Amino acid sequence: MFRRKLSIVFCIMLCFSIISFGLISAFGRKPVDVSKDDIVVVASIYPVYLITKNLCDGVDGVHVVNLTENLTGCSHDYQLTTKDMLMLETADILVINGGEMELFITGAAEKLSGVTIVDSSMGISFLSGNAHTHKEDSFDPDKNDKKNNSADMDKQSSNTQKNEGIDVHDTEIHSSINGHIWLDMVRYEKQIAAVAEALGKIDTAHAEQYFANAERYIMEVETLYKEYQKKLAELQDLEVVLFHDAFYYLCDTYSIEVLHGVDLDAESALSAGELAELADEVRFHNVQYFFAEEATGDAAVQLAGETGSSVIFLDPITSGPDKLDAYLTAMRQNLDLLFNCCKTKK
Amino acid sequence: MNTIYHIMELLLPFDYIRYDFMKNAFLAVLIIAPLFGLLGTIIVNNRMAFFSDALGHSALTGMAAGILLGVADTGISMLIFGILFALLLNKIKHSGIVTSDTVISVFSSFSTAIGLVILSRGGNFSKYSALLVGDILSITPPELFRLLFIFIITLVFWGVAFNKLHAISLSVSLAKSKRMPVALIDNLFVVLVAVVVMLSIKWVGILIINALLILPAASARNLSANIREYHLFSILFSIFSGILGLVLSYYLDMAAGPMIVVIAALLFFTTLAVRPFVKQ
Repeated sequence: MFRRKLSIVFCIMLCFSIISFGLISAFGRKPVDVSKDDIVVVASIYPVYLITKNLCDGVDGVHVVNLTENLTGCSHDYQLTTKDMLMLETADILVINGGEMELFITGAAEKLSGVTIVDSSMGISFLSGNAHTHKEDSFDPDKNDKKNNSADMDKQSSNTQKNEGIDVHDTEIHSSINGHIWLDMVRYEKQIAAVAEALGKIDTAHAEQYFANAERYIMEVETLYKEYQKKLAELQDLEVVLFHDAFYYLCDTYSIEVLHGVDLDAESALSAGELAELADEVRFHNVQYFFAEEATGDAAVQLAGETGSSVIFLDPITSGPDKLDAYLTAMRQNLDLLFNCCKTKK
Repeated sequence: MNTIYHIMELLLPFDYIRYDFMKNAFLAVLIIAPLFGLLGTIIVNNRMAFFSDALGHSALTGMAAGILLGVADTGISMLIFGILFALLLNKIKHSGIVTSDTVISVFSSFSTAIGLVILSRGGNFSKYSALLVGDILSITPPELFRLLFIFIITLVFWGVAFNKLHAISLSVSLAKSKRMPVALIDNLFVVLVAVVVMLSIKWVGILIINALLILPAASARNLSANIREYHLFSILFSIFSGILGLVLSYYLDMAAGPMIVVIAALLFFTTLAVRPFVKQ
């Protein structure tokens, strides 16, 4: 009896194995076609992937991959899959954005050997995460301005520096660095330069190509930046409420004043108290615009219904098409939306 | 550790075993799966499925408590909280004031909510959402040894106390009449479950840890006629679904934990279907 049962159990297991084998051969991963001499450059998230792709454009024997290809939201809640781990193991260079955007890699990165990590945020100053001004001290716009500026911190000197109780190196829930630096075109240019320099040092044979590509790409970004500089000059006395941390950088580029920042993830919702407080603040300052990301903009729409403000959906460029000019296209779209704010501004 | 890696490479000539993270995950499955298969037998017998589920959810509160108290390693606060939670739950359950499924449900939802309230402070829950699904691929050798240690403790506990545990699960009054320390054994068992759950939750995930505890044992129960078969089949099913799930997740690019549960669940339905032919 026992033997019969055991054979049935093994039969079941065998069937499962055969079916699985069938599944694997039908849908399984085909190995990436990379010859052994190729340099594999893995970029951690979409914005740095776009930088790396642009820099390696036309360079022979260099293979650029986006680690978080299937990522749709922000990288904070990303989970590495087996495939990602595999990709990291085969990589020669890993380009990261820095600024705590790649928390999902930290565990894995410690185990990686033979991979050179390039931090694109080297020497770039960060804004502090979730910097927000309270109702009491926000009545004086000058004071508010000062506060926003003081949130600008230099990464290297931030070990001891504190900003109104927010320590950027503290990993506590409320205080972390805002890592979405790519949304400020000036900082983005610095990122491009930093990655190009690092790539040039590691892969000296193609250094010139990297530098030439960097020069071209930085020029393109600079042109876009300049083009809108005048157009958006009017925005400087506009007050907005942000519903995504990333847009601090966009506002920083053109000195748009941020009255309040709400950092929302797909999982969390504003509490009733927060919503009421925010509505009062918005009414008091007569804030006309909320900047939000489409995927997490429900709270913004809700609040806008309450206060009569308009919601503008901007692109945080955390995911998008696999094209060389994807950043420029998305950024231009964002800037056009901002420009429309100016035009309709009363 | 290198010797073990080397042996694995010799024994398993597959593409996936070349990578250290796959070797670690493979070893983790080889420890976690039999452990869960073993504990699952008694959990299923004692109708504690809901209990272990609540225990898994309390991990959130444990982590939140650790963060509030500023504990560097939230694993410790999770462990301590899990043990306290299990003992308290067991005590209230046995007091018989409220029916046990109600008590467990109250505890489970309360602890989940407290955890969520604290962890979502400032809209930062996403930082911890990894705990929900787990990530067996990020396990490291020291953590493997910790799991191995608790596995050995479980085996010792099983060797010493299994007969008593089994007697209690058959009939509490019978066990009491034989002068067995019913409360002690019962409490030791829930503490053991709490420790195992808390140590492995980071790798398995809150949402699926209970499935791994229950499914292999439930499948085994479909086929077995005695305790020996029950244990053997449970452990076999557990290891089989663990390894197959891991390998499938590797080739099909899907999360490992849920894949293992899918296999375990399919095994359960298959055993349910063949049950009439086996148990005549």
